Amino acid sequence: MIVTRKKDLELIKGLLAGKKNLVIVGCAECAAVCQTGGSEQVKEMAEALSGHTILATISIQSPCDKRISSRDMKRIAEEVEGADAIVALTCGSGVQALDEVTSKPVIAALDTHFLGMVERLGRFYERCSHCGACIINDTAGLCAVTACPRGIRNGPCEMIRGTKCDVFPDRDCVWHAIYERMKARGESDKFIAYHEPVDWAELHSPREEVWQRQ
Amino acid sequence: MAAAMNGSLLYLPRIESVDDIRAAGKSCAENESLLAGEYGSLSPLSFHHELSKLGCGNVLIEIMLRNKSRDLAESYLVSASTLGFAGAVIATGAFEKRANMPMPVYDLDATQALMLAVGLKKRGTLRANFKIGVRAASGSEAAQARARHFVIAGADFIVMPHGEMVQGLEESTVLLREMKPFK
Repeated sequence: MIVTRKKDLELIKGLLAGKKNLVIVGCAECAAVCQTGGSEQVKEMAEALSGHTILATISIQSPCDKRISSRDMKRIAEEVEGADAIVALTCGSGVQALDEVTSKPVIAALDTHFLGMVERLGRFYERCSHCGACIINDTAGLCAVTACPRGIRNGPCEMIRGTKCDVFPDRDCVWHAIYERMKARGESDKFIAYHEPVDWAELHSPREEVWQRQ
Repeated sequence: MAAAMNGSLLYLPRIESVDDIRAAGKSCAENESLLAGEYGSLSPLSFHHELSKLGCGNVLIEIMLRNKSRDLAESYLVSASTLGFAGAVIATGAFEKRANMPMPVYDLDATQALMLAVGLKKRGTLRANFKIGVRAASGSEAAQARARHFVIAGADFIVMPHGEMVQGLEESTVLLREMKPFK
């Protein structure tokens, strides 16, 4: 799930200066779970922007999916046509999908934070950096690239403090955790499996996944 | 190499001025080797001449990975070897959170940097007598396993804080004696 945070409201108001007619779009998926872009937050945003004319509000199931955004925005085509800007309570992908399907100025109301694992509402944890060079099958199911602040692929580093991370002293070093898991599984000999440096030739942004016709 | 350094190394973590180098000269015990660290504004690479005149034993350079891509790490290794440093100590480096913090690099970890250095040495890009050390820790089984791996993977020695040791690596371990701040 994409974890988002609300941008400062005054910043958004500043970006909307001179734009009278607005459409506010929320995300009924990730941002709704984060309580940053669900229908309640769309309503709050409409109230906060009461100095503007809100032509329409809408929650889209997956605004990052252009097929869905395009379909749903057509339902309010008249309001979109009359809008000076669209306020998007979505991740950055949603903002850009809305821009592409409406050709209207889209103001991002959220900061896209990370790809998160949900423990329960209000507790989101980054467990995957979507690096594209996954070694999790070699690290006992723990992503060291994400859990280590340095992203070390062959750890631990010398800064480990006993079994704790020097950057987060209240947390175990992930490489200690990996070792302990492997040891419990009788696989500690796999601990020093070498992981090559990441080959950035294929992993730099912007990445694409485009299926080829058979 | 560990024996050549009598098992200990005076560590000058940062060079902010030539005064720091002079202070290192005064702090060196007879024939004690010196590790010039990279935490300061001035790179030890630029001061090899001054460092080598201090009368210490071997002079080594710290290659810290927190601010280096693999290209820069290689450049530092080759430059250090060419300039005449006795060797390099690969260090991951502290992750210091602060205002206006630059992007941490860590393009290579210490194991990957060691592999790079060993490869450069095999190819003759580094001097044959250029020694390669790696900073290691001993406080957990995971850290000890990694320290053992450094030696297996070709490190001439590992460097630990004073008082630490990994069983079986006594001959390969050099202990750091950190310099007191210059007054």
